Amino acid sequence: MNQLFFKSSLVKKYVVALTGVALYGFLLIHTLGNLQIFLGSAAINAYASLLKASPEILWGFRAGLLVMVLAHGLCAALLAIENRRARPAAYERIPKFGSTVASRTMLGTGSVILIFVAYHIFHFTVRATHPDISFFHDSHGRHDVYSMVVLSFKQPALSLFYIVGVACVCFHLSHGVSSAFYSLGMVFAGYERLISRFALAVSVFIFCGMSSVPIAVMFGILKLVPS
Amino acid sequence: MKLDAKTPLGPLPQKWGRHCAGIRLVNPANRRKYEVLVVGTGLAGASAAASLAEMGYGVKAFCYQDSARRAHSIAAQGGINAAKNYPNDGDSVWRLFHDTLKGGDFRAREANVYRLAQLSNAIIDQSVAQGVPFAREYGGGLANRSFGGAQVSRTFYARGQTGQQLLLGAYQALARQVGLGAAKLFTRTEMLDLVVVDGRARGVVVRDMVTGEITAHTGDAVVLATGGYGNVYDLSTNARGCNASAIWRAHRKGAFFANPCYTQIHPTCIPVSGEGQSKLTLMSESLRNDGRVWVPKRVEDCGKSPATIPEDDRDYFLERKYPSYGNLAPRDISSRAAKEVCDQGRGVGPGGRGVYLDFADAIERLGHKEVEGRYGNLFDIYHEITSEDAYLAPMRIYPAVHYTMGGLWVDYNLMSNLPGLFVAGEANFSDHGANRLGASALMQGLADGYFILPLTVGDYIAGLTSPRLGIDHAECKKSVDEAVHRVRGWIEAKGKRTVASFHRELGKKMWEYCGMARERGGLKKLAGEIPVLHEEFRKNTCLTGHANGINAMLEQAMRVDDFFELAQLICADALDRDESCGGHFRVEHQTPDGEAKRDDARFAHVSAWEHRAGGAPVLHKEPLVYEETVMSGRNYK
Amino acid sequence: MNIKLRVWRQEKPNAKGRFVVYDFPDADPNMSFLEMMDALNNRLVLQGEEPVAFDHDCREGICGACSAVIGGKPHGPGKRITTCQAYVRAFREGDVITVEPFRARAFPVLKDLVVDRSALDRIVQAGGFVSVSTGSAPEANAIPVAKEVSDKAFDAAACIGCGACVATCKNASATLFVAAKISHLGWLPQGQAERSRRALNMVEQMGKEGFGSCSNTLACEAVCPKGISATNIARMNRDFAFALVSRAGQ
Repeated sequence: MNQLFFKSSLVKKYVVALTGVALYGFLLIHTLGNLQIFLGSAAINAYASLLKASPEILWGFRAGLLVMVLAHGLCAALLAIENRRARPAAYERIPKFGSTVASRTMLGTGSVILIFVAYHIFHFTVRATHPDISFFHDSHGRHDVYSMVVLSFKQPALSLFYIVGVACVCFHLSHGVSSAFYSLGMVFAGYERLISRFALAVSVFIFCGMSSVPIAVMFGILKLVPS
Repeated sequence: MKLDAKTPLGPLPQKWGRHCAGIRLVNPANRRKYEVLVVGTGLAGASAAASLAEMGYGVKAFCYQDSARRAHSIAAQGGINAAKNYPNDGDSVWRLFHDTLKGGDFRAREANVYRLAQLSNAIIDQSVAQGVPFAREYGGGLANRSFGGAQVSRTFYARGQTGQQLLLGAYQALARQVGLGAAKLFTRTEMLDLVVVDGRARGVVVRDMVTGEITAHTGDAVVLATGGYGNVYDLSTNARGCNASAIWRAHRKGAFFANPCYTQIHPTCIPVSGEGQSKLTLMSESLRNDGRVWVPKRVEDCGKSPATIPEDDRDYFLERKYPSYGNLAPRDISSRAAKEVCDQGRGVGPGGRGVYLDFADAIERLGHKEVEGRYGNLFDIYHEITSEDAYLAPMRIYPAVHYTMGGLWVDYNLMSNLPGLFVAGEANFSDHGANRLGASALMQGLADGYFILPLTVGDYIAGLTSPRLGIDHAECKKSVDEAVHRVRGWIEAKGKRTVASFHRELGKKMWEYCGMARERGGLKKLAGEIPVLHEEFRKNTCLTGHANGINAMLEQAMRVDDFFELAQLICADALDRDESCGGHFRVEHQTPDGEAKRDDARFAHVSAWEHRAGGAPVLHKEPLVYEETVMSGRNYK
Repeated sequence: MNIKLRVWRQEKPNAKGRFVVYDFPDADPNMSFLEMMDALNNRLVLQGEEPVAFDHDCREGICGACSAVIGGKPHGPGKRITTCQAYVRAFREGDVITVEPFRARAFPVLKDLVVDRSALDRIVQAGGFVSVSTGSAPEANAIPVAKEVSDKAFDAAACIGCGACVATCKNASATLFVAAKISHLGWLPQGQAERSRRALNMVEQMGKEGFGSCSNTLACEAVCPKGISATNIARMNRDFAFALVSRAGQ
């Protein structure tokens, strides 16, 4: 039993799928949270300070996310190694019939996402990359997330980097979401198209939600308000 | 030598039961000491191998394909008969028996056919339990449909892939035994010879088709379930690999070959389109329900597009010749009529070997949608192969060789005249007489494998007195050496022609003179020509490659070599059987309306041929005695 | 038609292979692809060269023997066909068609285009059956099976075991093959008793044979000559998960 459990590639698939679903859930909340920036600086700053109200919950949550990312990545990497081994001699003309680019490049997009997220954490969470604009406080004494975001995205290169990073995440999701349905055995005859459309729709939603912030900043819709 | 069919005494319905009651048994603990060699893993072979292994015998199963699941039983489309009488339309074991016997034109053994009908129901039970997804009614019960030669609906089917599903059932049963270590499977392994010692079958010599290694396997009994020999005609509905070598080699070692001239021609196949063609594809006969068969009246119109030929210039020859049946004339009659008009030069399509099957009237009468509903999948197959749209232009069809009723002679126990050699399925001659009814082949293969052989092989083994041969026995070595020598001879062949060209030429000759219609002059001509061509084949064939590796040409050369010898026997049998019956139609013997005319006074017997090295084969006759049925004429009017 | 075939030639299992180009200046468009290969082989033999080894048998798309990746797709151009159902007319004038063997660790090349697919047989031997010995079956109509259920079982049972799913999968996974068998027997009441064992054993054997795992790219479904649905994969994943849980509970 134990051997079967740890050796089985299917168990790894379940782990990838379950952690993927959880990370997707986090991403959805993250997106909704981000969108509060359009409600003004007070709203987003209040939201940010709320998240940090309890260090126990905050760090518990962060630890959970870390474990999930590690499990997701580790299992995916192990599977990828097994899968590489399953075809030692490559085709000269690689068969691509019937599969999407997203589905064939999950490991690649996943790796890019890892780098993107690492930078993102150093940028907005650790606030190490742009310390000059990251430590303001608003009139209530809260960390001024609003100004940090707006000032960051006023730099076109950084905005572009974020948009590409988010695009990568959503590209990953466009296959990942429907793939999770298959891995978890939740696909039934007649619902296949519905599931792939759902995956596409949620990916597009997250992309729009996430990238709307840098775009809005660049187009001057979100501006620094004199505090 | 007198052929003893070992048919049990007593009334028909009790023969098999009484026989079973008297059969010798082997103690379960002793069974594993015995080994049965099963060659071929189609319906008969796989079911026999699985059942014998389940009982506890050691089993070695051999097939030339890369997996046991690929045997050509897999291609059977229509269905499998059984006397379940689920539709309550008056079916019974007796009716199934009688229809099969009558369909075979009273040239099969009464007791064997009765047993086949008796066992038919258990086959359905067994298959369903294995998970064969037969068609079902909404209520959850099994569905039946009607099939040719019967007035009841007794055919069980799984869409158009009944053979596939039944074979997968048997293959999975065999796989289970292989997984349990009870059976050993040798794929990509071809039988080259039978080992016979003191007149008994003791083993086989096989060639590993990957390494080329030739070895002997010895067993306490040998089962040949290697299918039919339709590929003697080169083009047939058989798989390319189907061959007669196993049964032919057994025949050369003393097993009698029964009724080789009984071959079945299917009227609705897609015609030959070019010289390189390798296969004829069967189209369901149901097409003739709505299609009208015709050819141009004038030879010069044959090259024209069918749409440009006016109604008056068309010859609806089936409707003309058989006004009451029209396009639904029986298989053999329709086939021969098509050949006749093509012989007159009025055939259509490449090579002039084809007739139109026209749906224009049906489309006008029923509408495009209805025709599509009835025959859409067949029109698709036709389009796939010919790239022609049968909704717009008529289909072209032509008869093709489909099944061979003849095979090695076996007694009631399915044992040949060589003790220890059992023959099952299409490879034996036993149950279909001179013509096989639709949906009977699957029934016979599985009855043989699941229910007859497991008992009769046990009976034979229980009476064994001598131990299994060691593979270093002189006779094994001799057979291996002969096979090695034979392979070497072929591999060194450096003539000017390919194996395929000879096979094609042999096939054409056989088809021409010993196909749908046979007559003395043609058969005599054929009998003179085959040996000459065979001689050229042996001298002028070109092979390349090695003996110790995959070499399809080498395999084919040896198979065609055997086909040449078998063709001569078919020809001799067709000449000898101076009557028409079932699939054997001698032009000299027909009723005024073109039906086969039997000669029961002279030919109510099985013709079993004995091989004589260097001489003419010797005919042994097993009289066919009908205790409880009357030999009526085959009349479906 | 003027076409060229670039065919993989490999002498032995571990030998180094290479592509060899063969010209067909006047290929008959109505020939099947395999008939063109027959013609090629006849030509090669007369020239004193070794013919190209390839698997084939029934030539009507049901035995599953034929293989090869033709022009980047297993079984060649066209939907729901096997190699033996591919016709020369599906190519274009002047095409150079690359013909490769199915490539997977579990399918070692034996010679040229011939690969060893016995791993699929061993997966079936591990559990792809109903353990019902001959003679022990109940009356066929004793257990009703709804038509819809029987139809679904058939859809999965239509697999011909050709291995195209493995050939096309970027992970060389046999998941669709395994899932089809688990589904076929899993739908039917006859297959229930062994449903968990079957899922566990067959999946385990697939791993042992060196096949990769499923990334749900669904390329297998797209190339399957019999149109086996990838929903069977979801079913297998479900059965396997239940089997794991129920085994843990025992």
